Amino acid sequence: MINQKDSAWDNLIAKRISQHLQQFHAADSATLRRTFLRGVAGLGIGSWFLGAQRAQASPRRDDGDEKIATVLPNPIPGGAMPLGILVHHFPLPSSAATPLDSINDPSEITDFNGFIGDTHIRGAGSGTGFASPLAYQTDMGFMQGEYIGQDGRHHHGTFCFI
Amino acid sequence: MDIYTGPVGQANLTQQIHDYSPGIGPKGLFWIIPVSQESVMIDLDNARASLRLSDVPVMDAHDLANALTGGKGLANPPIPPIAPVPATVSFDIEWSGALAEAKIVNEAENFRGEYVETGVTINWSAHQAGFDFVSEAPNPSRNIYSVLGHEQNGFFFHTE
Repeated sequence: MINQKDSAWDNLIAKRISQHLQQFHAADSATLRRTFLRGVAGLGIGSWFLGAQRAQASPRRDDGDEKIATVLPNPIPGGAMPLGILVHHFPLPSSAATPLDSINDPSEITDFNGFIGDTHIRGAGSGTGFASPLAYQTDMGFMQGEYIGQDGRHHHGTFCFI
Repeated sequence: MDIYTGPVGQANLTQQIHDYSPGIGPKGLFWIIPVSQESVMIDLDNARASLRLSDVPVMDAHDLANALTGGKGLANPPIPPIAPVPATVSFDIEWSGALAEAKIVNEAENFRGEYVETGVTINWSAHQAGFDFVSEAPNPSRNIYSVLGHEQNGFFFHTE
């Protein structure tokens, strides 16, 4: 289980995210709408680490009026073991022949009631310094809805898996 | 989001040159970040959804092994330690077209829900010092497996 994290790694990520948010998203003030069919905005990223800090500083009930969730959910208890390391995530099947009703939980967060989207794609692209196409793989998705946060209280939020 | 020098359609760890993620969060939350509700559009009845974000700050761990070990590499298979570097990614993922539908009740994993297997396309890019990546035009044939759904797990699995 990977709960022990390299502090240098954490600090580097937190610093970079903080710099990015200050530079690009300080003025982002789009209003939150609680509708089934959601609108789309290009600048919607939140900071995992800043969110955690805010949650610790001022725990409260999320009544859905927040633009970005500030209280973290808990991970699903199980998961896959890539390279022998447990991660709290079940990758989608690597073959389209796998029946849909045999998939594992596509959500990465537990105590969750909401919508999920998950995808596994392999394609091509171009990268700096490479004359030939590069290959890519994306295993990504989202979770949107009600959850019980790490503070033990009910919240609403949207989370992106990258 | 991974990039390889190997053949398109394969994902060989020894040929991986970039691995973008926001890192592993508190309590083991795996590569997820909170985003605005407006980043996601979902219409489950019509098997459609989108996920669009721009300039997301992430770390490039180079490969999966270094992503999972915080840059410490791996003994077997031998993957040298590589320090992560900051990067940004942008993406537009579009789910559409029902391929299969299922209601699942999984007692072992404590989740239930209604799911739709769908087609999907992605258009994405990455940027960091000295390297830029741009994916090919959205191509439905690149889909391996994609799902939309509405589910309850954990506490909510036992209450509904």
